[in-house]
Amino acid sequence: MILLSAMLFLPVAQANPVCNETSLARLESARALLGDLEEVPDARKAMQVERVRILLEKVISTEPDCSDATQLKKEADRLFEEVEILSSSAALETVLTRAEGLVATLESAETVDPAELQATRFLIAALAQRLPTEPKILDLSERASRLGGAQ
Amino acid sequence: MKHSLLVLALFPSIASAQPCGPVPEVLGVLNDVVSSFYRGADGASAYCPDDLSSEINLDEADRIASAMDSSARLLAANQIGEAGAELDDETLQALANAAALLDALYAAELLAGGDKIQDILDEIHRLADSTDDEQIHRQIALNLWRRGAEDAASLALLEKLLPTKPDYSRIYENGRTDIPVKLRTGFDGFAYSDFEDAFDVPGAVLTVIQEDTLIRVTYEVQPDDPSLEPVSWIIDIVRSSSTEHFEDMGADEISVSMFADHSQLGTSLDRALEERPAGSRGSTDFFWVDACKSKVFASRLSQAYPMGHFVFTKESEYFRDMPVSFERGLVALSNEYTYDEMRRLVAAGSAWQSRNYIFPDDPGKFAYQDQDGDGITDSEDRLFNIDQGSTDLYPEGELATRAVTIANTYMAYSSAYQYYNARTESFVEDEYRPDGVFDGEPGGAATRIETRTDAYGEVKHFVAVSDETLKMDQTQRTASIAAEMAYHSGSQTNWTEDYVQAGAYLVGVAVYDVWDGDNFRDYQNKYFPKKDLSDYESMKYIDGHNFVTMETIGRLISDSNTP
Repeated sequence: MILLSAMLFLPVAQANPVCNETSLARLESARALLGDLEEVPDARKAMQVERVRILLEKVISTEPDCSDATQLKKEADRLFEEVEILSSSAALETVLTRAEGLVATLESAETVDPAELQATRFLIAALAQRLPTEPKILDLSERASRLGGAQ
Repeated sequence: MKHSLLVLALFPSIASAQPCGPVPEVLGVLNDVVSSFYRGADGASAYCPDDLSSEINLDEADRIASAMDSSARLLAANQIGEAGAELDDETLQALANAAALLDALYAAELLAGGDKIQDILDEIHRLADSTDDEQIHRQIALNLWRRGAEDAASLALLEKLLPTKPDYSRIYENGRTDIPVKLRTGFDGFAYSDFEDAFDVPGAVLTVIQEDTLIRVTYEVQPDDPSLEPVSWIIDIVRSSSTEHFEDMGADEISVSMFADHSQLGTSLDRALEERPAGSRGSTDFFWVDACKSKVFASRLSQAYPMGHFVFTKESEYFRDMPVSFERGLVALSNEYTYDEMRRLVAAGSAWQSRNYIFPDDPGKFAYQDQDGDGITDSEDRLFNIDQGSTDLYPEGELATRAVTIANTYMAYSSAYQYYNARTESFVEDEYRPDGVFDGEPGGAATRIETRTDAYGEVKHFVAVSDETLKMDQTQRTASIAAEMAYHSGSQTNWTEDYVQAGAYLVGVAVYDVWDGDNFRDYQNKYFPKKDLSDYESMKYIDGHNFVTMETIGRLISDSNTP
């Protein structure tokens, strides 16, 4: 979070002469979103920074010479690359945990409910389709396939 | 007559007149101009455009246009544009034909890099301006999109087909900031979605009003832009019956909706579409179609709601994805984002959603839509069939569009035909495209498949469907088309003929497995005559999860070879 800390020290109160009031208000809002970032769950951090980037693009498109916005946008772009990995990983973990829980429940059940098995297999298939090389998903897929006959 | 004489002057070979029938007076000068256009080229067929109420031959028009020089193209465009602009709405097919001829001239001029490109484009816009007809505007806009036109007038026409942002004047009508939203789902939506987690965000309060039937979420969103008003979303998550999904379309209160349930492979919205409110056709409501591969609904939805702002999925959609994406969508709507910005927000750090949605501004949707219901998707369709397009919901050609798209989906769910768990056999997702209807023979081939480059520049397999196949019920029709597409796909691999045939048969069986349907015996006799199998016996070879696998194909072959 080094980048984030650096950004928060960018000048806020000193009005940039080429940024009008609307732009300054938007800049303040962008900084507030970044300031709250530590409090935001990992899975939503990328979304929050994307909001900042979109807001800053709005400022830059209406006031291309508003250099504070341009500078903050560059920093936000860099930060986005950082948090995107973090958020993607957190989002995946949430779904994987859910799938693992479903498989474990089915494995420990005396009789497997076909509807539950079907739903679990659909989830794993969807994950496999999207992330075909993820080892945890391949493992889950094999465990799910051992849970019952194909019919 | 002066118009046709001008064209005549360009083509001396036209002197030999063809025996054309009486010309409807209402077509005026256009008939003369088009007649001259076609008859003027060496080797032209005996095309006799004395009745422009049917679709003209565009292949020939392209050939003629490419043989002209720039000045001749412009002259022809001037005459067609002028004569077309004089038509009234009683002759819409003639107007569509005129617009298609202008497209042929424009395309030829672009290809030749001629100096009349802008002038011909101006004629296209003159024709567009001469009518308010929605279908003509759509045809022209699609043609301009295909040609990559980026002038302001072309972009304005395209905006109707590819809206860059939601209709905020509708969502925030009369300055309202308390916005009711309806999310319709079914039993599994309540059982497997995690609404609590998705709306565990500042500003949201979730209340279970009736277990497994109604959840209400109030979600206050403070837009990031201080110039925008805070929005309060009042979201009812409702367990709905299959007829209710569109009952709020165009209604005063609800302008943001989501359907979040199983696709039933393209059929779960049929009853609701049949029951949709009268007068809702012009709706510009924002409607997220959140089901697996909901692109299969696009042909029918785009006909029922040509101005609708639908979000479709390309791939499987898990119930977990749905509330998460929808919550993000509401944040985007609060900030009055464009669709491009909404796409970015939904995708940001979400692991996979970036690839799964087709937003209303995405021309990728044209590959699934068939607005004039002639069996050719909008992405490839240069000339609208006005009669078909005016049919209420199920024009004959749309049955072909839909069946091919759904058949492709069936194949794509089957691991033998799809990348799955790192095993690649034959990749089919979106490799097949609808290609209209042809005159077939009873009992003959259901399809005719041709490989060529599509409007997006990708090589695809185009599937025309026989008119005989369209007479079948939905299950037999889709099963037959799916079997022939699977046969075509299997033939591209190194599978043995046994595998190709058995695999193709089983893909069609999978259609029967999901939908039920009549005439299974006919299907069986046609596509797997080697062994006499009932539907029940055949379905034993379908894996409920993967539909058709290499293992199930092998088992069928092995059993079939056993006396």
